Amino acid sequence: MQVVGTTTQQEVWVASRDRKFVINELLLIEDPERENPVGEVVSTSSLNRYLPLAGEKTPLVDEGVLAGLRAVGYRIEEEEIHLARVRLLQEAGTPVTVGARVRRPAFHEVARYLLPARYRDGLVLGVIRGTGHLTSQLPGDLRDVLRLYDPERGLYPQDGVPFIFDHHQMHQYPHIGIFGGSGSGKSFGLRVLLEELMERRIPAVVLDPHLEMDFSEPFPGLPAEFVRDYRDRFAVFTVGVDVGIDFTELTSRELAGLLDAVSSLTEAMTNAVETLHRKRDSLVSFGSNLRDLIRALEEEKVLQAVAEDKVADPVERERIKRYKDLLARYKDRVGGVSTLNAISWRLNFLEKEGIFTAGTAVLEEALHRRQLAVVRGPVRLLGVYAAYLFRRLYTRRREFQDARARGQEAPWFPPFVLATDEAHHFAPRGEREVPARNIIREIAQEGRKYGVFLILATQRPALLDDTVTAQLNTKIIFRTVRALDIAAIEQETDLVREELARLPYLASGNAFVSSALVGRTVPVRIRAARTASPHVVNPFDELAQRAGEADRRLLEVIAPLLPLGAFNLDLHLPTIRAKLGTGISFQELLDRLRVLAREGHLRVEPTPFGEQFLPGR
Amino acid sequence: MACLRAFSRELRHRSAMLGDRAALRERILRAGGRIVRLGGCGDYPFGSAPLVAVDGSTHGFGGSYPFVLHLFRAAARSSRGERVVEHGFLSPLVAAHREEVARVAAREGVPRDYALLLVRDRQLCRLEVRAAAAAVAAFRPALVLFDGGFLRYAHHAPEEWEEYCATARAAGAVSVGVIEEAASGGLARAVVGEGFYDRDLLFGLLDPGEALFLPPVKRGVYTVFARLSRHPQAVACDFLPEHSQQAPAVMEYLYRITPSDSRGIPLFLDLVDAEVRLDEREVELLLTTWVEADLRERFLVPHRARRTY
Repeated sequence: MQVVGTTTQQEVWVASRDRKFVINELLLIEDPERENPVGEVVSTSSLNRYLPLAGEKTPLVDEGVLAGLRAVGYRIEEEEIHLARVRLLQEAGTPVTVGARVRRPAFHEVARYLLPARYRDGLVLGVIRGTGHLTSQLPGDLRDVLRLYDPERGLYPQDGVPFIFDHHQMHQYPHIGIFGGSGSGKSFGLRVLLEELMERRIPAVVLDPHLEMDFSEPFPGLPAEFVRDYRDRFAVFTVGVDVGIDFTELTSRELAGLLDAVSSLTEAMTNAVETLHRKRDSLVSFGSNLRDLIRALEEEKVLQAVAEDKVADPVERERIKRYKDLLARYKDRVGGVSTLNAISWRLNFLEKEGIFTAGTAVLEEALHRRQLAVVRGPVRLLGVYAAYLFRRLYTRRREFQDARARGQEAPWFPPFVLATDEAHHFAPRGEREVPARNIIREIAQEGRKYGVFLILATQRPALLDDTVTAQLNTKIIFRTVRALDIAAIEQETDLVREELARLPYLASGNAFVSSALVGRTVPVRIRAARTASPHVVNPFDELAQRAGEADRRLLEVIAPLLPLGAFNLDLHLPTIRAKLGTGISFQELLDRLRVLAREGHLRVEPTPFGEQFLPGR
Repeated sequence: MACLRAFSRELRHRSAMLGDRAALRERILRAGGRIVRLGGCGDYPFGSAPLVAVDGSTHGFGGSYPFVLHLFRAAARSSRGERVVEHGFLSPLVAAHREEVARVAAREGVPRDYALLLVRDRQLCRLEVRAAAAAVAAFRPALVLFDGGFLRYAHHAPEEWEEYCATARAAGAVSVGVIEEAASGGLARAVVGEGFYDRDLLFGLLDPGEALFLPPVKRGVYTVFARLSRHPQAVACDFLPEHSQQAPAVMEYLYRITPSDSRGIPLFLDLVDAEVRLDEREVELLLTTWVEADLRERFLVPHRARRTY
């Protein structure tokens, strides 16, 4: 291998006659004046200038000529030249010497580029692609630390240098983005990251709209030495059941957002909510104000006719006084009865969902126990709830930090990580008001100071809020097909043209990690997760399985009754119905027997009275 | 215009002197030539011993004498993929080179810049022959193809060439110099008299796949002409006199390994030619890498290279 062509301080071409280049492999250039720079293969090609494309100047060579040359041991196919574009990991002071020899480096020569200084307790996310040949040179503590997975190959051993993310550095470069289309391995990537957080007992909250964040089941087929029991490292909370909202802590805007999540609010409704809601309102005080105001508006005419000091019943007098008060205060500011009614049913709905019955105390305890808190709920509700929850947790942590900064005693609240998939729902770009966006923005910008970090996964980076995207210092980018998303990635990362061009073709589980922390883009294959997502049963397999079960049951029932046929089916039909527990008709039963016969479970013989079903062979 | 008309008339006159194709073929046969149709089996006649092809290339760069640099590359490549590559350079800025140029200039009575070109040709021939000799010793080939006639080597690098011939004879390596422009005049002289090159005579004379064998010679070079592809220009193939026996079999094989729609040079030789060629870009790249810009501009770049149009 040799450096050829024009070189620059950043990039060189390397050619080889006998070896094809592997994308992403590291190569060492023997150029002592530039301290033997190391580079990464960013694109590869092979060409045979004697086998040109049709239409080029050179004539195509006839087979007779080649046969004549093969006779003396010459094969034109071997004239292939392999070329690689190699990007230096660190810029050289002056252009690399043309003609310099190039070789594959030994592990110790490139270790500093591949591993962070504190690799021993960083997050082990996968292997660095193109480092396969270094596997045998790895020190013991880096060898066989993970398994890889590929749908074709299944699980297979570690093949390359582990990619270790030094999370201690998140103190400086705090947030992580995970981008990739469906099936790209993005969800697996998030799972692996969360497993690593649990492994290191870093408190975290993950929103789980798809009910897939469960870590109790080991990944099927994973060898015992890689299995970890995370059951005491995470806790699941369902909004409205275990966790909810402390109504008194809601801001007017949050409340409006919450009601909007049930069903869209009109401008008038939003205005009414913001007018009616007061700081520290409880569910009871707000609810009764709302209901009383509705009644007052309905009875307005009657009320105006009554002079309350003339009312004898003190309770009634109080009521009328209160209604008049409400009318005086709000009448002109909250719209009509229909507006208030619309708010009222939304509030009732939330109340019935139980969202106001529980607070966040149990979840906060889980963070204190350094667990991963999984928060479940319907997507729309989760958006609103996240806004509330994130703000509350963030405020807790901030209060502690601020108090400490002022030299005051304050109850400890741990630093933590907030994670979610479908992040573009929670913090979308654009004008539309979305409840969680502001707090996510705030954490994106300020979280570092307080030790609050974000992990935001999305398949639509183009739809993620700009301010937030700009603050994601580490981006893990899986296969992305949409041009718009690729354009967003191009803007927000240091991926170069070749890498961007590869994005639509990345195999599932392969990703580029673009990180201010590493200082360059690293091609990574994410490791196999240690745990499995609970709903991995294919719905079509499920259908087939269900159908099979029904057939088995029917066979069991009819087995003692065989032979059956049109002549005696009537006779046995009541028994069969009773045993199956369904009201199957004569014709249905006959059809099903025919199907069973066609599938070979029964044998069928013609008789003078029609077909007869016998036990299958 | 008149001068061009006269020029064209002269060419037509000369062409008429050659006579028509049939007559010309007839005259050649009468002069002892034998026209043979190639296209037998064309198998390689030498068993498992490899084939070697030799070629060289030179590229000059620079302004006026002595600010001139010539780079050389010669290679001998075996059909099994082994190579001998020789490099060299020539510049009157180097004392030894300057002295050699001065010597040649004095001996031949020519100006220094012309002498430089002679020395350049010498150098290139020497490198090619040296590569060929090394390849014969190392790879034990049975057939060695040169890109160019033997007379060139005999003229420019007589000692090395003699030495090579001795080695090749001893090793039994049949050597063939393939000449695309048959600038020799021997055949033309024998058939139509002075004033023509062999190539003029041969243009369109042979059918594709025909070879013209002349009677064997005792000394010098034995030449066979052949139209190895569809292109009307015949090539000349030089053999050492003692290898004239093998010439027919070798010509069959060369015909086999020449693409029919090429310019008539055996493919393997063309491959080495392509590999060895020092092109403008490559030389420029080397110079920009190794010679600082201001020195390059001051001494080496001819002002005409800075023309805009």
